[in-house]
Amino acid sequence: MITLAVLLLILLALMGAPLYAIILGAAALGFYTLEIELAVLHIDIYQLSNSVVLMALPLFTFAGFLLSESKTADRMLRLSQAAFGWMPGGMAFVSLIACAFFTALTGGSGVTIVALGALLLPALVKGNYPERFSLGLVTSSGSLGLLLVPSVPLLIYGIIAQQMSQQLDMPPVEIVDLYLAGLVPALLMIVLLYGYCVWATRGAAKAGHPIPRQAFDFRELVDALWEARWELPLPVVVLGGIFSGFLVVSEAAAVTALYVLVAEVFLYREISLRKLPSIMRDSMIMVGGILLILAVALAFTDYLVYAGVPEKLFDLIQTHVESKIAFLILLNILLLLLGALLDIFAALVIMVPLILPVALRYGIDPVHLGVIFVANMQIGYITPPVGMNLFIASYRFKKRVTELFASTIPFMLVLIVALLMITYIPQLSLWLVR
Amino acid sequence: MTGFLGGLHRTLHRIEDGLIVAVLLFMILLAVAQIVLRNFFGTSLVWIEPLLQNAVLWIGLLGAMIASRKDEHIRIDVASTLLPEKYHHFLTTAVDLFTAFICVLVAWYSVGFVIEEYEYASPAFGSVPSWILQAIIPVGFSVMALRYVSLFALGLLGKRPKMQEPVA
Amino acid sequence: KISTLYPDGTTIVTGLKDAGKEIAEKTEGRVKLKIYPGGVMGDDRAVERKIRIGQLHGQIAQGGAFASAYKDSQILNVPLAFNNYDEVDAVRAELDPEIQKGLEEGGWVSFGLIDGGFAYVMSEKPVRSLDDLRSQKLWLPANDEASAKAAKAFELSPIMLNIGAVLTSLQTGAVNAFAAPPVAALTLQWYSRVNNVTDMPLLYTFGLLGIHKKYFNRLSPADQKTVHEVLEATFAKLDADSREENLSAFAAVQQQGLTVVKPSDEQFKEWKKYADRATAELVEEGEISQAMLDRLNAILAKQREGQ
Ligand code: NA
Ligand code: NA
Repeated sequence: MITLAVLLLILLALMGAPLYAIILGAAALGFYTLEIELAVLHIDIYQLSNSVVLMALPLFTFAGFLLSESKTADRMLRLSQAAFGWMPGGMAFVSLIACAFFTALTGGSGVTIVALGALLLPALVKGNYPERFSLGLVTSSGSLGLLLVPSVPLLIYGIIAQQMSQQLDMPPVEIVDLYLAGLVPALLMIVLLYGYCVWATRGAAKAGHPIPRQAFDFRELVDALWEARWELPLPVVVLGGIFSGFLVVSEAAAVTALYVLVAEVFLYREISLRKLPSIMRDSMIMVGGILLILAVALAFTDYLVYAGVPEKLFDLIQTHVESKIAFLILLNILLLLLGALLDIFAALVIMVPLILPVALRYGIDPVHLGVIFVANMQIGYITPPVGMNLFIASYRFKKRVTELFASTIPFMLVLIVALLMITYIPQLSLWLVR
Repeated sequence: MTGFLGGLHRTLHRIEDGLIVAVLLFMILLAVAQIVLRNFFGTSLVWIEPLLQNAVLWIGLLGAMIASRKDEHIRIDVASTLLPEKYHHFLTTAVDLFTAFICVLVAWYSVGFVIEEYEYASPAFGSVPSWILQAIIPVGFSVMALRYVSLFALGLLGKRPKMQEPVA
Repeated sequence: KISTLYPDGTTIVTGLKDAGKEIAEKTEGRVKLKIYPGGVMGDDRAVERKIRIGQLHGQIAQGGAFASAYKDSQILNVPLAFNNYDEVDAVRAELDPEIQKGLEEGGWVSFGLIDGGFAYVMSEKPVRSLDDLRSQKLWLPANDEASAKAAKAFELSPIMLNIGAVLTSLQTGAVNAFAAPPVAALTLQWYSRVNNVTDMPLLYTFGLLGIHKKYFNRLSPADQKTVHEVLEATFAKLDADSREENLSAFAAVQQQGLTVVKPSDEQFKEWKKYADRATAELVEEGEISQAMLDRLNAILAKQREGQ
């Protein structure tokens, strides 16, 4: 009977039922078998109002929507081209940097490709980069900043880890530590991808289609800097505020939202006051979807902990897996598979409560685990069947998902190399933290 | 939809939109006020923090309600990419019915609990009773249930919007 | 099924788990204790709701969590009521049974109080007088009505932050004073960011296990008796162990380099004046009954006379 219900839930999930309904169904089923009154679902959903950092999610997302509605992307493109256009593979490097920063600022909410893609792709093609290469580059760069402050997935990982931290014998997981830990791995990914870009396009020159570089022009750099003058201080305000202790993370998000609002509406005047409410509403629809999943995941987690599932899972894994290395290999395979199937937020809320206690017993630092998790999920953005970047790029560039996926394969392989380094060299993540 | 029902429909949309914008603005302003008070006046107000935390809950449910209008929720959409278009109709019908059922289930138990919380009369903070803050949960799930019932009905009539992911 | 905010591996959780094994043996498996440590089941309020619907049956929490069932259980938390642990012991010898009886009438079966130690002011600059404290940026827990009220009575303007933000805020100077039992200051590393501790027992704290009556009464009378015996013995031991921990923690913060400062008699009188005012307000608002306060004062007077 129970097995049948579980199978039915899985079937409904594959048929496209909203994930929140599936998770709620699973939690309700679990509590029902334990004879717990289902009012527990309400109590757990209300726990959403109990987090001290969750406020950052709506605020960062709103700021991200504002940035993508205004001409921020043009200014960032011009600036990075003025600064790095002279380098070999300059335009590719510009794409990587611009995507990474834009994704970081917008919290990886999927708007990078929408906002930057339409600018970068024609610019790359015009610069003699092969089209397929350019498509792959833009599509896979759309999630590149996920490990950079103020990444929302890292934030959500931190929230879940903090909720669990007192239960488990573990070092504290400060959100600030996660952001510090993500820095070097994110740079590693950028460097490796850039290296691949230079290597992949070296043939073009031999074939007689050299990729032109933009000569470095100090004047243009100054002009570009001047044009971006209201947006440039933002990272300084956010990072400075957080690392000086002047602001806690949720407050940094509020300052970001207010700052971006003032900059785009009053200083650049690119968003009219009349348009503001609809931007606020649209951004909050996306946030609502994510928060709802987080809330029902609290209920599902409650059931798992109440029923003692993490202990059982650990016993099972421990009988088959002995070393830390073997566990990490298993973890990467599992997360890559999950990343291929699940949306990043769903994967986080479902898997972190299960995996964190087990990983701790293998001596993996929870901050390192967070970086591994998000790095895996970042690759998941470009793997079918559920790859947000593939969907968005397909919608944006009017290309088929299969074609886009084929174009991202070399970039995905490079990212997997980076992932392996990040996983097996914990110091990459931890040397700034511990 | 026309007449009375249509009017009710539009009023509900306007209330939802107005509320979610108000809560977001409120959130930004209160949080900034707290920062200024702490860093420049060396003090802080007791009620700001709990209010901000509850605002997250409200934004979550209001946003989820609005997303349900056109069923823009996160999903693992495998079947509709594998199956030809003509079977999609069957998928959405079954899925809408299931989602409506789950929302009714949560709304039902949630209403019961909130009534109990009202009788308990426990304050969330200051003199704000906690049932008012919690009431958004049964309201939200009731509205979502209604929306999925109407999506189901539209599906039977062949007028349902296509299943989609929330895409910026 | 019992929830607690105390983390797994602490003396209290370990002690309780051992007690659970003993109970299971003595009742031949009819009664089992399942502990959910570390706040996995949520904060006090969420746990209270889960107890209401029967997902959980009891919780170990600070005394304040049970105040709504029996207001006079807060009598031990009156500010500056005690000068030393001898006075605490004298009062508790007489009032502990009273508090347990009151809680039971309010619906909670309990098995004895656990010492939480005195909360002391710890600060960057020495705090002797109330004005010293007013010039510091004092941290108070966000979302905590009782301490906010107390701060108001003492005419302090505190900074409310969530407990997780305290360490970083101390590091950066966003706050530079707090009041906490030394054990908490040690385990949370807060002591490392302040220089002084004021040797004045600001507030007595305690914890207890409450199992809701409607679930406890489902056990057979014989099993209830067994549970009472085992848990009361366990809690007597935990109480003594916790006292030891609290005393050594106070010594430890001094060893870690905190300077002990003491208010002068004059300054202490001022503290006491505000404390009495705060207590009077508690009585006025019906948080504590006058009769209970009188009993506290009578026991203390007798104890002080005997010295
Ligand atoms: Na993105
Ligand atoms: Na994927």
